[in-house]
Amino acid sequence: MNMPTQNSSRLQVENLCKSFTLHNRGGRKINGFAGVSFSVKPGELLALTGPSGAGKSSVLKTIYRTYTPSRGTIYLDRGQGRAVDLAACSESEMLCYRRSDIGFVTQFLKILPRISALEVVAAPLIDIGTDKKDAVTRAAQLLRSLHIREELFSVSPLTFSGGEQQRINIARGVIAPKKLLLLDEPTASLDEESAGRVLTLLHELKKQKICLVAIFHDRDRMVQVADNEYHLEQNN
Amino acid sequence: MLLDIQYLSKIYGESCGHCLEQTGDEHGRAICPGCQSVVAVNRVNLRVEKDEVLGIVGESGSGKSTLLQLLYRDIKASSGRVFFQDMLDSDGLPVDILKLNLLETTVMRNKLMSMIYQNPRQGLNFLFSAGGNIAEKIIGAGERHFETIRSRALHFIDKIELPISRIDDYPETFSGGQQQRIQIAKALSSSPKLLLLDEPTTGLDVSVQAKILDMIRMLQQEMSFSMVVVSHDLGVIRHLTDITVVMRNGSIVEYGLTDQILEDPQHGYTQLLVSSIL
Repeated sequence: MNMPTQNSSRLQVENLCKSFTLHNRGGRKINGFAGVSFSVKPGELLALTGPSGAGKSSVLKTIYRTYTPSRGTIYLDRGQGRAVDLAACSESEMLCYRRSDIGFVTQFLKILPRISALEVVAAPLIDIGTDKKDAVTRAAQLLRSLHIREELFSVSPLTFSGGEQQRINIARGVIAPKKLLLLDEPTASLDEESAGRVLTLLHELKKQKICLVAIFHDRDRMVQVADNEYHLEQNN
Repeated sequence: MLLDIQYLSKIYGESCGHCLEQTGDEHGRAICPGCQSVVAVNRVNLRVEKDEVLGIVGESGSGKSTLLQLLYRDIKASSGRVFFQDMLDSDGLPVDILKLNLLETTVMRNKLMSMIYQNPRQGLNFLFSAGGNIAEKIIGAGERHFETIRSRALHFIDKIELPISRIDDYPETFSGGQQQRIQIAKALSSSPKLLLLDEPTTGLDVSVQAKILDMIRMLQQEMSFSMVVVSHDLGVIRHLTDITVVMRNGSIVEYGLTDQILEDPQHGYTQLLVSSIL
């Protein structure tokens, strides 16, 4: 399958819409967002902006297929001219693309209890076949670069502070090389120094030609890394 | 594709011939109005890919456990076809596993597919020791060398974190959670391609539940087999599965990525189910 236009884009979203039908509320429809179109090239960061409730997080969740798209296309270029429409692919295919191509740093850390920070961060690498020892070594390096104290490596991140959890979430999202990385407020609960480290990490990912779509709660931080901006209006 | 289920149905009772069309989710019933037969599973189509973990959820009586028992050939299907990737005839063509004879079914269970039951008494032979139960499965898979069988049994006892010294103890001397772990060791000792789990943690206290779930997840990542997990507990489904199927009245009402099913359920029944999580 070929991308319809703008072949240099890694991600091309066309007329994407999402509405929710509440069957147990008499079939009431809630509009998430409508008519969202943008494209992102490799090494670019597109920032989604707009007021609270405009549907920024919903756009990310729809690209990741946590939300089922109501209408529109989401073309991802998987390299060598292979483009797939994430809005139309099967669940099994989406599972494969998530493992190999798409990362998602969600707003809140959702992990299993009882698993150490090191294992949580190393898991995406192990999933794609990296030797466990190598994956753990890489996870430790990444955690050190994000200033997570070594004494916390063997502890479940669910016991960490909000800022520490956020850094674990980011480390887990970026450890395995992906073509597309979605980030929902990656610096929201971080102090200036930690946020600076995350922004440096995002710059490094851009140099690695990773395509990034992100939401920032802080405009000053956004302008430091964003190449383009897509503004969503309330109930557009 | 590892498993391909096509129009699989199970009817209890003398069918009038129209049971499947008159029951199912669109009719809101599993009992045929014509002949009162119970349609436990109604024309289910489903595929499971290699290394995929599929969850089946639904209320009691929705047909989820029956579906699993049909796949493991514990009960006879009324109609449908099921193909398993590595089950080929002498000409290399796919074999419908619903048509296997007793001997062929035993070979399939010993080499390709294992089942973990809610009640360990169904999955374990209580007249054999823990090690004996595991050895039975290894022998069934074709191993005949005593030392290899013993060392493999010890390996799995160690994997499920039971003391090696207890390998010769009988199942009834273990707690419920330990018996469940022995079932896991037995099921995995033949290195199956597909593991079927029927309510694997129901009835166990929460700390034991967590340990069993962690163990299953860890072993699945380590040994990379596919799983079909039946549970009424959405926490178990969230914990273990990649893709989830929702059943009601013997039919599949929704199929989706597990996070999609939990965060953006499409069907009214799934919305009700998800909104009922405490």
